[in-house]
Amino acid sequence: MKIALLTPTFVANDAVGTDMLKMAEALARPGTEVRLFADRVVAARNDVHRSDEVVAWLTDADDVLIYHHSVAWPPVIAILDALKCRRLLRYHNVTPHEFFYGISHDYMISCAKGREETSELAQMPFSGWLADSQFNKDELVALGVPAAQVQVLAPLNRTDDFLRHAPDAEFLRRFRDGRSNLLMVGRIAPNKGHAELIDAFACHVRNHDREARLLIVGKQDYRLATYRSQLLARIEFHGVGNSVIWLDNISDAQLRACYQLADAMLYLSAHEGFGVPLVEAMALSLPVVAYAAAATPETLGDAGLLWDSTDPRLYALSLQRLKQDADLRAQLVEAGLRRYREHFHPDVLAARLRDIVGIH
Amino acid sequence: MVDPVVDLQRTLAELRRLAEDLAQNAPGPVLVLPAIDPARRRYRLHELEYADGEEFVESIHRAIVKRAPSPAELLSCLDRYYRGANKVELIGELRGSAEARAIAVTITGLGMRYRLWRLARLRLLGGLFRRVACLFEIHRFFEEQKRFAQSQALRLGERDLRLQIGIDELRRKCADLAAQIAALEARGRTGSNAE
Repeated sequence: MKIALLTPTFVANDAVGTDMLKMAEALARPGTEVRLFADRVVAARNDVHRSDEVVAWLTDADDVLIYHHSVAWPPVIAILDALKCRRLLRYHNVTPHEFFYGISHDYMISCAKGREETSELAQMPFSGWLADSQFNKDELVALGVPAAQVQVLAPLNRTDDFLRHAPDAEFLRRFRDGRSNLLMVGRIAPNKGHAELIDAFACHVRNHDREARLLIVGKQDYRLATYRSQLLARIEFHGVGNSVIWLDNISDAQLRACYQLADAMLYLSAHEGFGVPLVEAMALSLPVVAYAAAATPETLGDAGLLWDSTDPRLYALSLQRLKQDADLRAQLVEAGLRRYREHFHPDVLAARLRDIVGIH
Repeated sequence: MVDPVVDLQRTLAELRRLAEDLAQNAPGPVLVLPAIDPARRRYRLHELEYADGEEFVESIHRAIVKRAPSPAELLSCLDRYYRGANKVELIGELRGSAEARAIAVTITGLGMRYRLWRLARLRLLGGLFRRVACLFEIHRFFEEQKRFAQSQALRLGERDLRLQIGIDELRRKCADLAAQIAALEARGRTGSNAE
């Protein structure tokens, strides 16, 4: 049996790339060959095959293609039409175009095309659908995909690899200086709610902890420079420039150190198909204060303080309460660890994936 | 395992009450999409015509059908806009849709211009009409072309500016990296001297 995992652009460490790599590991069994295919590769790997080779490779009816959909990629329609094997669609969600209004014309068009393509794919006959979350499943069902055909499977993560890394000693020295650290992880994009994050942090600094520090970990994109400028202006407006640290392109050991150093994760993302950093926080015993939007509530469950509004005061008070109430903190950490073990541990997800694909 | 001793819902309710007394100072949202005013039913054409690009598409949908455009509507409308479709044509078509007719927004100044535009699209008669209209409206035609060119130039200028910001940031990062490499080399030299 051959299984192909296909995506337009393969990036090794982003959520989609990690999901694909971990799927490949989980599905590789004696008698089953798994290959990755992509149109473009942004990673130092030579085991990702060209997307135009996938049709010739999948020759048997019981072979499987898993297409990872998160951006527009018109050539996939022809590829899917040409295949005679089983086809599964992995839906990671596409950010609604509105988030890029006034920030990036190109992103706005690209996201609109991506969501338009989701509607088109929803009309195609797939053997099954894998949604990252119930939130993603609801979107597919609203587009006409029968609910019974959609399975919810969280993205496979690399927290087990991550937990094996020792935290970066230099980072621990640099940020363990008696000040409290708050953490946000996610690429610097307007759907991730950085503006509201900065407001919440500034409110906390003003009212509770003048020495608090915010670590913003995330990939920066020059195409979103307007957004970054808006965030910098906001930081200046609040006068918290010396307390906000931007960390881009950091290693696993450095990220591990950030989770270890942080007193809480502050997560105000407005649109997430899932939210992998929430799983990392749960696995690493970090309590979360989050905005209950998109898939965040179902991912976090009872392992965090969830708010239905972005009012900065709610987040500032939550952070202060977490600092003062050891019972609350312990309860959230324990709930997070339990949730991680039961729902999001890589072994749990890998076993579920094998069940769905029919590999034992 | 820790038993849940804290009632989360009660904690949230308590924090929500406390929040009302806390000082806040927010500069307003970053994302400022054109507002939807469901009660407003009257517009003047120039209010909808002034914007360009995606702002134009968002504005006309939010005003005429009282919702944001779907991805397909945005793509199709923007595509036609950048291929040179007349704003009156796009506004008139949207206003003529079944959805907009049910909402019944009145756009003062649209009716006559849209009808003239449609007349100009008729075969034979349309060509003749355009030639006659040109004699009387030629200055307006040039004004509209100039305004479109200006908006395009502004958009390209913004893109150049974003590119420049990106380049500046890359330069800064390269300088940081060079400094880090120099520091590491210096540390290496000090280490080997010490040995």
